[in-house]
Amino acid sequence: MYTTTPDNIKIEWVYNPSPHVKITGPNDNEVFLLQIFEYHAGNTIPYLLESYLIANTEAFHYDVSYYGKFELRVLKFDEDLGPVEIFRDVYNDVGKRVKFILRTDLVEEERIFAEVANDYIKQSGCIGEIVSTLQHTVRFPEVHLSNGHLVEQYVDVDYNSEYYKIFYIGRNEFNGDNLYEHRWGNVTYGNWRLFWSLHNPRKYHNLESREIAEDILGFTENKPNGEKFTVTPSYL
Amino acid sequence: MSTILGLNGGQHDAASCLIIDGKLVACVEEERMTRIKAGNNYFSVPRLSSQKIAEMYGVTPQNADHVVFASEVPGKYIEYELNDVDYTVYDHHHCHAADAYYMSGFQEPTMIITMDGGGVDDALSVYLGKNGELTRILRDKWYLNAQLAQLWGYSLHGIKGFDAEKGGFVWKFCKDEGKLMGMAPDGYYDERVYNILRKAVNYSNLEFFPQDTIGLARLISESMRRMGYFDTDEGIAVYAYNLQKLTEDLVLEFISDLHKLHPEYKKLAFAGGLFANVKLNQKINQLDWVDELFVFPAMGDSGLCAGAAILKCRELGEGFDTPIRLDNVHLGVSYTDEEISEVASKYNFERKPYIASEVAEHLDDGEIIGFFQGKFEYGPRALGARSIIVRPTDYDTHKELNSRLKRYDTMPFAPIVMKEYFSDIFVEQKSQYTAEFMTLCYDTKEEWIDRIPAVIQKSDKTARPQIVTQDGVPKFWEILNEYREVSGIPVLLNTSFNAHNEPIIDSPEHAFVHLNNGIIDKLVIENYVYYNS
Repeated sequence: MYTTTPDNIKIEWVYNPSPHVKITGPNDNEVFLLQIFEYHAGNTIPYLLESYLIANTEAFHYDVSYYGKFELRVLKFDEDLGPVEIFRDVYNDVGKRVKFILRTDLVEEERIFAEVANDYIKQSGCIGEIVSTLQHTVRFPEVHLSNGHLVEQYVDVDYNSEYYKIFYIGRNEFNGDNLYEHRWGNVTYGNWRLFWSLHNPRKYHNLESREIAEDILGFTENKPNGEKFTVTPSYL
Repeated sequence: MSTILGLNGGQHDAASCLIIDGKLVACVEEERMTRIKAGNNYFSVPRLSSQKIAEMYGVTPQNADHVVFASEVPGKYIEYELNDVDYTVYDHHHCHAADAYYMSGFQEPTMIITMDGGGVDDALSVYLGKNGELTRILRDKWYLNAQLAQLWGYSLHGIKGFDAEKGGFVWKFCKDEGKLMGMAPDGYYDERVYNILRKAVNYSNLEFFPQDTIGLARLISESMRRMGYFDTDEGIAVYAYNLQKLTEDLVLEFISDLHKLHPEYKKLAFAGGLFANVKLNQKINQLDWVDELFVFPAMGDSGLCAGAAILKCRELGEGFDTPIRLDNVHLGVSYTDEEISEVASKYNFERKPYIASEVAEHLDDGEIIGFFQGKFEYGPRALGARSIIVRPTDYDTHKELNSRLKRYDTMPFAPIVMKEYFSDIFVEQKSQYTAEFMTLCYDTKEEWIDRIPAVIQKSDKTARPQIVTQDGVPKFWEILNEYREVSGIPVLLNTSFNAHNEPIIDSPEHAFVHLNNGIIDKLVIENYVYYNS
């Protein structure tokens, strides 16, 4: 996806596998501010997750996915007006192709994951495809990978991806302490409310299968008295 | 009664403190030992400072009756070094508020405001203090609101940019805000710059907005640098002036709104990094309805350990039932004459007994004197324990001192003044207790501006005095009095005993290096004067 502003700044972006934004403008020396916001359930005010300063012609990409509904904004600096917003896009998969990859070795769990994915498809209005990593499955013929391995982490950016978004549902591995040390050092800390859906939003060890899937697809907050979960750095 | 060891660390400003039987006896900032100003960003731990406390008082995390953290101490420090220690963690801004209130001495209803760049979840808290109890009435989540402290901190990155050779920003947040603030009086109002900055932080109806101060500060300052705005000191000064004005305008509006809600609270107590801004504090002090304000001397995060220890002390019923006043903040590490002599023996300095009247003569002659006495200070100001003192009568002192200390010419120097003469020299008379810790500026009376030019900000004629009392800092008061006898001026220039970008010195080793390098002409250290023959 891309758009061009009246002052000839081209913005390219995708949401899959995670937000990627490339900005190309006529002024080589210009920098832009990319902001990523998240909408909490029942709240119309988006919460800032992260922001990055991007040099002209460079691309922002961060190898994580965000959970739930979120929003991208790009700001430029105007000499007279200061920060000026030149782009805004809210994640909206209505009518878009969205893939759900179920990562499990258990048939029963696969069924639960699929139920939650189906709920998401119905509620969101996306064009959903559900695939599974479970071998010998009869329920979902389109097994993505054989040999029981998980899907390779998607790293190449394709601005023309056929999928608007791919969700990985399962017990996705945390990347040890490095994940959070990296966050602590380089990402605005304190936003413990931000979720990385490529990884599980919270530790899955004591969660039911349904809770795992609901976390990743953003249903958890829809529970009337939903537990407010907090991502805590592993070293605390 | 018991021992309470307070610790804090995390992003910056690690420190340790100790309360014994309800009395705060030690507060040690990690930077004094690590020699890294404010510590390394991220994972700053109170390792060396707690060791110093153990050496002085024999109290360790393992044998202290109580260990408390003011949040943010990295878990690996706890895991690996305090593995078997039970501890209590207190909220970041609650610790700031405890510092401000319980050290204010205010027995009257007091409004306590804490503002910083963000501590765990919050960046702003407001409390009401009454009869020794703190009640929180307002808090801003740092990631949902705007923070002036972040606008100052992250503007630094953009203004001076990134130095690839040094692998870091030339000006750093939590370290160099004072440099930018010091340039503000040399700038001027520019509506365009002011309004641009106001897009990053604005205020209305008890709320600071919008979100993402860090990002907006970086976009603004980085873009303006790339456009050439900061190629000259004047450009930086204009930015600083308008940032200072915005800070004052918004905070004054905020405080006035709070006053409308709670008009009976006319005493104000502050903590949090934003209140290191002495010009802001001056503006607040000048509000008619404010009876008195107090800024905790260690207003930044190094003060948090004391707040945590105070809160624990109160829980135990061992002290701080009501606010107390500090005689001074000389709560760090001291050195014996033997330790000092041992260090001095490595050099060929001359030595003679310290006689204040003689040193006053040297000061009057224009010599630059290092002043090293007792335990070093808690907080960012040199207050007579690790100070450099110079006569205030010669504006050229600036150039000489800056040259020796490798500091910027634009950074103002501050006066120390005998309490007995304060009212003769400065206009406002309120909040003299907090001025004992050099936490706010005052306007200078016209007749004194030309008499003490080295310590008066040349553009706005303000000064940031330390009021010196005979009981609080007796040796400092003594040298001031002797200088007054010689010169007729009860004021000296006092600057921190450190070279540019270093923390204030800790030990005799550091002091003698300064003497050896010619940064100071003479070193008064405890009861002796050292000098080059």
